[in-house]
Amino acid sequence: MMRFVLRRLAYALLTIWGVSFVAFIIIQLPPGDFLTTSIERMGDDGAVGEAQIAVLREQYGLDQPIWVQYFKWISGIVLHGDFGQSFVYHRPVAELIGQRLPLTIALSIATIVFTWAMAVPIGIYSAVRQYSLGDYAVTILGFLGLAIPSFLVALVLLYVSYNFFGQDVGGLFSERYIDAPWSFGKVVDLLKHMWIPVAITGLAGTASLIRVMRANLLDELRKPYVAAARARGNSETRLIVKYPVRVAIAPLLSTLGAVLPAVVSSGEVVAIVLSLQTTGPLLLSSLQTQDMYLAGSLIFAVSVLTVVGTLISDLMLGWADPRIRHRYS
Amino acid sequence: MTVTIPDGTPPRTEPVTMSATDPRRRDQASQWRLVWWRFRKHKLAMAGAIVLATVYLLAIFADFVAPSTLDQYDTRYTYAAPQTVHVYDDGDWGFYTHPYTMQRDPDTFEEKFAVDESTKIALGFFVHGKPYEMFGFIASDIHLFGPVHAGDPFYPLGANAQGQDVLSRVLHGARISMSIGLIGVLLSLLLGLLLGGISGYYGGAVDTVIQRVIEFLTSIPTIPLWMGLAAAVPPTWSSVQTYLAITVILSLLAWTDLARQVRGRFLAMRHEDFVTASILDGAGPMRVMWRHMLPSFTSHIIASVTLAVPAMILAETTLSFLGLGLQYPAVSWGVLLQEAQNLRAITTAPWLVLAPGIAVVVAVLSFNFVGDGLRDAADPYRQ
Amino acid sequence: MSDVILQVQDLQTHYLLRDGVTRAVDGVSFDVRRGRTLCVVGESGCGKSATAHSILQLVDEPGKIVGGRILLHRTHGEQAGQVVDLAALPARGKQMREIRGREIAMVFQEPMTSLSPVHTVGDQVMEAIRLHLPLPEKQIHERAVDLLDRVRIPNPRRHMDSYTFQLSGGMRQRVSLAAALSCEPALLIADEPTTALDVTTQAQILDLFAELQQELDMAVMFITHDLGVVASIADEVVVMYLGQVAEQTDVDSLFHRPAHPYTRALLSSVPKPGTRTRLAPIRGGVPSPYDRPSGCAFHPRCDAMMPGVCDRGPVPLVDLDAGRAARCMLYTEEVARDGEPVR
Repeated sequence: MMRFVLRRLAYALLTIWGVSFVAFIIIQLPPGDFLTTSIERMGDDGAVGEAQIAVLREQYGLDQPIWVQYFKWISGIVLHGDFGQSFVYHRPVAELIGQRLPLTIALSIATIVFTWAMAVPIGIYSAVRQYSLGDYAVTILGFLGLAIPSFLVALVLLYVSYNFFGQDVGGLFSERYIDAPWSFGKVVDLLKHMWIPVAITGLAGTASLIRVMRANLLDELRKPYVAAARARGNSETRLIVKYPVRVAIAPLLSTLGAVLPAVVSSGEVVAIVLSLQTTGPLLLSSLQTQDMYLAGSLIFAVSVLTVVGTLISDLMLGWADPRIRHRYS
Repeated sequence: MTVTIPDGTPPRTEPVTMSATDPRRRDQASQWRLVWWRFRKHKLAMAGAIVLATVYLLAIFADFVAPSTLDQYDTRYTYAAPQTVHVYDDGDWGFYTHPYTMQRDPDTFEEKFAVDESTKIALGFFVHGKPYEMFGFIASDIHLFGPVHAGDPFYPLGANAQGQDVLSRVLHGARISMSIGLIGVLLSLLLGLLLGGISGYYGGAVDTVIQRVIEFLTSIPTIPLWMGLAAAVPPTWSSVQTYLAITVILSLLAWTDLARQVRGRFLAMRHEDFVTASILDGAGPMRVMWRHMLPSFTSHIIASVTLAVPAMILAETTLSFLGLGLQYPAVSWGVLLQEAQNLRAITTAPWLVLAPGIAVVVAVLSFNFVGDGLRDAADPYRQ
Repeated sequence: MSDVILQVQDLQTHYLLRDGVTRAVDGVSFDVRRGRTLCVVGESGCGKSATAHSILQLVDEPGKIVGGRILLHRTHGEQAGQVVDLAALPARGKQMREIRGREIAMVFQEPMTSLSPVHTVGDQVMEAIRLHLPLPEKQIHERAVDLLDRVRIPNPRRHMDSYTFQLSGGMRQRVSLAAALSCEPALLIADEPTTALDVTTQAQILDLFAELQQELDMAVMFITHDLGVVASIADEVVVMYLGQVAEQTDVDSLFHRPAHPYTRALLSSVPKPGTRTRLAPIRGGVPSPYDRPSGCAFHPRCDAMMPGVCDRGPVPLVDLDAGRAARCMLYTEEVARDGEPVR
């Protein structure tokens, strides 16, 4: 088990290193010297003098080869938690991300929980009652869930709630809590607002997970060990929950690695449409204003979050599946 | 067999009705014929295929099919609501719609459209409208349908902020949205075949490296990454350049699934006898891969490619919707949806969301249905 | 006849498929007696597994028991001495569940797949006991250890916590057997339990079967396609062909004076030690169930086929001497009278 954990950890670190590289490329990508544009913008405000520009050039190693720049950037992050400076907000990137990332994490976790809570029972129902009316309904809804982009659902919901209920479903907090410090009331308020983006974001994931669960379970239901358990005198319910469902859920756990990036992806877009205080809208605006340190760091942070999530799910899978647990012991 | 069945007693057989399952016919049919027989039985897939064929035809001939051209606008009809098109007129066939009247709300000074039931706008087929050049060289002014008198307002799916016909824009938008999926998937397929093939054929260290790269790409959320890459496309580029750039960006992250499947097939097939035989015959790796291995799973590849198209369409739509993909004046369904990004636009003109939105959903659904049908039909020898 | 545990009478199990109806079991009758082993023999697709599954109502969709009776003479619990028709019980009902694992237990063909990969050996052996016997948990555990010991699993206490993927094929089949015997059933149905095993392991498992049968005085219904297995464990034999009983006989007669041409063909297709005769495979293959021959189902492959007789009309199951029977025109009165050879 220890070897398994170490191996997964090594993979995760390697992936994070790769992600940092990609993020750095994105920072460098916009045409022209990224600092020049940023400095021009700062210069417009009349806030920077020649000396300050020189300091910035020195700080980011702009006159040095690209790998030195990368090294300066990554060592700043690793050693000092310094993600650089946002030129639009005139604040450290780390501070800006720090405000937004916890909500992104909360939303992502809530979405995963929602997805599972919906998909597993529906998938079981659909497989056990194969070809029933309910199964067909689930299948149709599943197809739709996969075909409708989440931002479209968000748009339609915005329209419906505004036009028919005269209410804006955007945001994660009521007005009086937006700038308020964290309190019990604020958490309750958050939970009240959260289910809408969670449901929208989780729609596609739920649809695909239902399909996976249904297919897995249908495969398992035909296996002889189910007939063997039935031949021992188990009741149908007990039989299905104890045997095939348990076997069918194991590969589902391993899909978490694929579901999580998708959930984070569509979560960012939904957040933009519903203007939530997560990383999504910040990423979009930073890209629009070419605030590249902020944008690159956001992509980095969100990706690291996903990689860590996948790592955790991998470890959970290893713990849940005796075949993996024993292979490495 | 020497035993003959005497006359007068036909063999007792259970009823077998479907000709496609007749063993004699089945034994002689080619692989593709078998795939087609299986596919044909899949009703949803057939429906999807018909819808897709229609959508592509509409997209190709959008200039002719759409009642108005892309540069046509009329600010008098900002956010005009969809008109009802009548085909039945007082006990007889008639093709018409009603014009709008403008009323200004005395309190808010907001302009509102009302339908003027007293007059009719005659509609017709093959009417003369704004001139266009189809494919850049066929000049014409004939539109499949539209108002008989050019210039009469005709907004069957409503108008946008500039008073442009949403229906025409959705039809034109199909060109980019439906083609970017295909071209992007073809690019991914090329990458996937190349890398997946190398990975699965050679195995070993090459395989490990490529597998790590694939794992890496699938473990990071695609949309933020796409956003970052797409934002780097210079705004000064032309529509065509942007289109190509976005296509490349989309396929850069989308080839992994196809590569994985190709690899799996190659790995499974590497030790099949017919592959060994062709290697022993002295065929080079490229020849073995292209001539012997690939043809045996072409049907599976086609199914996977079909299932990969919707993801591409959705990705383009999402990027353009966020303003990071294609930009006005290019027209794709995502660009159209971007016009509906703010709450005011949605509440005053919901058709801006619904028309391109439904188009996206229908296209994606059809591709999924066809892909599912193909996947089921891909292996005709499986019983 | 108090020894009879199970009477199958004119059982019919059909599969209602889109392309037509497959009569997997088409009017099968036989008895299974206490302390005796009945072997059901036939090529794959002859309906022997479907027969076994029908008895416990385990036939999967779209299969369905459409006729006949399966009479179980109950020996356990309050209803001992009563006779119940299993074919008439609802498949998912409480009564059927009480019989499964308690009075009739079953061992399946594939030891790889007939045990759950994510549950321990102990869990699966104890399950039937937990379901059927009101014992305290500690006693259940002891009983399971004892069972593993009886099926010769070394170090049974340790293996209670093993997973099946840690065991060899033969060990897994022993675990299946332990689970099946856990409530000391009156009838054990074994559906080709040794087919997936290598020959040495197969012999060990067959010995184990015989031994445990003696100990527990069980009736055993053993399904196999292997005549070698039949020779080593059977008392009575039912030979099946395309869902019907072709021949019913005791084991000695099966090998020394087979009645049905199909049985003879089967016997000459397996090697016999000490003889140097050429093996004769049966001509052709088992016909598709959709394309069943008229008359005797075996006539297109039969060496003794009589044109005009065997290929028309249904063939009755003709009683021979000493409880033997064969479904063959050779033994019908009219053919015998007309001077055709009766063997």
